[in-house]
Amino acid sequence: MDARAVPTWLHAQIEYLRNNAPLPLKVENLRAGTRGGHVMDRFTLLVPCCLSNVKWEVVFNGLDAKVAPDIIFGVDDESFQPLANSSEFSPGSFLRDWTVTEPNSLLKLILVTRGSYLDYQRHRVEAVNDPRVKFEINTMSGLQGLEMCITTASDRSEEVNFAVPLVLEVEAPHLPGSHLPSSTLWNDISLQVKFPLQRGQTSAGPPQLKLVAPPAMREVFDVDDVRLPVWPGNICLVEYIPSLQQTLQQQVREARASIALRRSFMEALFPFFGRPLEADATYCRRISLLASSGAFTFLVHLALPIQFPKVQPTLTFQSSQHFDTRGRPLVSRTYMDYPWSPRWDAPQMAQRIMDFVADECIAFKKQCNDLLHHQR
Amino acid sequence: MMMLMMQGGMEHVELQPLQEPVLRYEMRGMGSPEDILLCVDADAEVNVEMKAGGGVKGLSRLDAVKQALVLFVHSKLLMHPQHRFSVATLSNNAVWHQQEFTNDMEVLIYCRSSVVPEVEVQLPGKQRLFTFDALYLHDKPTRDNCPQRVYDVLVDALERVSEFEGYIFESSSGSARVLFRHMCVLLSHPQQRCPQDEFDAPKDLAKMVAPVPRTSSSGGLPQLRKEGEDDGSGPRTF
Repeated sequence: MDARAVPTWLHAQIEYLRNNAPLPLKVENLRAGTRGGHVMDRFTLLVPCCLSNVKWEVVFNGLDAKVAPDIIFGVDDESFQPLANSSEFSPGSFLRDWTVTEPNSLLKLILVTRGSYLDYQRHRVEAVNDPRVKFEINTMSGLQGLEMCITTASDRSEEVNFAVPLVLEVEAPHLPGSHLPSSTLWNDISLQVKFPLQRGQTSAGPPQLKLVAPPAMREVFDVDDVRLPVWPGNICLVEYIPSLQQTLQQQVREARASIALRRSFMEALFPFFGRPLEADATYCRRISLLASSGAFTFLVHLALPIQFPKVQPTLTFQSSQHFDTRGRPLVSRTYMDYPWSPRWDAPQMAQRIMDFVADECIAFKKQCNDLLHHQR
Repeated sequence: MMMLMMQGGMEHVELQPLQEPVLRYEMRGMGSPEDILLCVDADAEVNVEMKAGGGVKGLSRLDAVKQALVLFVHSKLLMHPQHRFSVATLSNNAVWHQQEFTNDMEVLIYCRSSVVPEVEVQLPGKQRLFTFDALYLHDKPTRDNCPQRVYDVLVDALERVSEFEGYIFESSSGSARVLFRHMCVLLSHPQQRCPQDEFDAPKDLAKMVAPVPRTSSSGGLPQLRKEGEDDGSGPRTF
């Protein structure tokens, strides 16, 4: 963002929102109001709702900081009328009292408008005249962080969506000498539930279920790998969640234990290979080693899967002395089939990897020499 | 030729001896993406021929260095696809061709035995994430050149500028294979480095003695023999 083209007061509002928003709000497409205009005073805002994003356009007047912004909602939300409510903490009151002397005005306005938007969506869901949806709503009021909305699918049919964060109890990471509690509550994983509507009615079968997690979690735990417990017969969401939580808790515990196992394996490589060139010390998914066999110097790249040690690391050799016709160093195939047992302790695993590398690097060197010979 | 590399760094990794006579390695630091500037010295001495051997054919110094850079870049990207690179050249002035970094990183390849560099580094304030390496190729010392002085200036610059462990190699043997090997050591991520004297890779796997039978619970750590090969590591006089 070129700050010179964005008015300073607006830049301050946007930066405050970016750095302090309690939810993942995203500012995109910051632009001027006219083609070739110099003042960039409008943008698209992605607002999370029910684990998806709705797009709002936020329009300021870059030449007058005293003028409150306009917000343009999506085409499907024409009946959303946040200004109809003029009570104290409504969007209307924030717009009426708009000022940029504090940098948090935009963020406060967006959060309170989002709150109104969620209420509007809730009323839409409550208005669905379907016994199952009504039953779900009646049983769910106690769920913390629940959101609901109606979305329109690509074929113009409607879906009722519920989204609820799952609270999991996991062991805290072991930090020597710390006095942190032994377990913490995780609520990064959410469950999204869709009930498609046909002519205003849900169907009899189970709803569509999806687990949603922040992308960074993939290094440790992939929610797409989770086999969701079967939705038995005529239960409601509130009854389904506890068994899902238990399944998830177990799998998350295993994934976190795997990090510790990966770490001790990587550390066990040191007496055999010396200091690694680079290691992913946070999630322990990758490590690269420098090795030699006589005059042949090469690198070994290891990738450790989330299911380590049940699934063994993959191994790739890379020469430091052989290059293809484009000058790139020669790299071996990925090895996934060398001797391995998850029951070995870390030093044994490291020993066996070293044995394999010491043997196989001779073959790799020969392959490289043969390849170069054919290149000439 | 000299290569100065600046990379990001946080904590040092320490070796902690335990009760057993085994050095235990604790991983620390983040191993996060780096921005690396490669700076090549394009001066007359770059045409000196390098020694062939170890499967590497004879190359001019400049070609060997270019190949070493390609090796470096590809290796770095295999380790972490988010590392980024840019290029500068050095003749009388340094010309930085693209400037797209958020962290300051510099690789300078220096190839002059007779011209002492003036290292003027202007950094905005003290950059927390900044490491500086050097790789210097030169002729053997004679009466008409001054590679020792050049080397000393480089060591001084490295110590002055580098917030974290910087590594320096020099070579007059002219072996491209050894150049590539030094380059591989410079791949080591600054956030996870130890002092250069303690860096002990690569180990020669061909010299590893077979350990005690694997049924033993100790895991059978190998006995290591010290490598006899001179790899030119660590600051010193020559």
